[in-house]
Amino acid sequence: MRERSPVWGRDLRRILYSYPLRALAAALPPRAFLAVSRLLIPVYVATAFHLESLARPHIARALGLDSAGPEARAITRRFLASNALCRMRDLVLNKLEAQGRLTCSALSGVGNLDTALAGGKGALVVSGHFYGNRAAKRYLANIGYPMLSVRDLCPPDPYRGRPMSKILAPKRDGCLHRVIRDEVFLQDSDCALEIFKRLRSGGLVNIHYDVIHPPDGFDCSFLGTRRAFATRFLKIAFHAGCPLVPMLCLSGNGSPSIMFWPALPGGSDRNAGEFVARTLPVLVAMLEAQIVSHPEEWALWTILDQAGGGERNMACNGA
Amino acid sequence: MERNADIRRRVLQVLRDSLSVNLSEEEMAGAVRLEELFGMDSMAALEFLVGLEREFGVRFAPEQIEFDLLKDLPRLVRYIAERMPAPDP
Repeated sequence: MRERSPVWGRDLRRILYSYPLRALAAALPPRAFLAVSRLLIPVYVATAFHLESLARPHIARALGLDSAGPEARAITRRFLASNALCRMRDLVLNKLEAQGRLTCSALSGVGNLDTALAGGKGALVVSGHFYGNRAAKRYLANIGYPMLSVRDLCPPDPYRGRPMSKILAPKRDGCLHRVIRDEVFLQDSDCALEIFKRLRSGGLVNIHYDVIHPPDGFDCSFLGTRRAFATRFLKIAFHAGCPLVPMLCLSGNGSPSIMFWPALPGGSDRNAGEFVARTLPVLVAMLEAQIVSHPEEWALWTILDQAGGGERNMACNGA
Repeated sequence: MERNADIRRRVLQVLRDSLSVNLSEEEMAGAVRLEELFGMDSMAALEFLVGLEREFGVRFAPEQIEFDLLKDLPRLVRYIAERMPAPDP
């Protein structure tokens, strides 16, 4: 059994985030708020013992490091700092209405997206849970590439079951909704149809395929272990005949950097099963390389142990 | 009338095939709201829609891709009938 740190330390951080910091974000200009945030991040990193203990063994295993060694500790600290900065940026995006103020530090491969869209069947933009995603998608929407985000209403959460989480989780959900805006939930009865509809309209749908490992998923080697990956999103792409465009969004220190890879063609296989078998290992290998190159930017180290249910066999927690 | 009855029969056949369910003609005879028969989930609804497009050679316009249409058998039959090529005289 893993040792659990005291309830109140973690709850206190969430209360601080949900009330005073949120009020500060509303009052200060975005740059000033982010400057203040940067002063608080070392405090967060130094006190997030529980998350640190959850993330470090996975980081060490994936990167072939000694879990107790200085390198694994340093990467884990950078991961926690990225996590905190992402949350702070959410508070800015939560209130930011002046779209013109959204910026991006680097955008590469957007021609791959244009080429995919030129086929007229829309495109499924596939990505992992990286800390630059939300800011990047807001920026992309602003420059003419709006994406429907597929989200999980009940994502795995290391805080689940805490007394304060009942009060604070809805606040967090509301904030995320205002940040992401264009979204559909896996639990919606018409989720697959909404995705298909957007694709058929020639639009973009973004799905994260890196977290749910359902019992009936597709088994792949991943970060030093075996994982079952969700397949339904690929079946939707197969039926829509649309290409898949891999995307990576890194948060960096300020505005996000966004990269698109050349599209994987969709719909040329004889059936959806063949399409999944051909495509998913390629996507998983690509994701793994992205994570290993940017371990501090991947958001799921702390929940890598948590399995998803069959109900959520599509992807998870879009954002 | 006869044409619509034929479409209805084929729609129910697509539903059976795409959802891999085994219901008798009698059980399906009075079907109006399809989810009452099968409890369609989101992915099943999509499989059904794709099966209908294949069977009837029609293409659902994006604005018509909705759960309510797929669950409402009389409306669905009308929708398909309006878009299918007219039968040879």
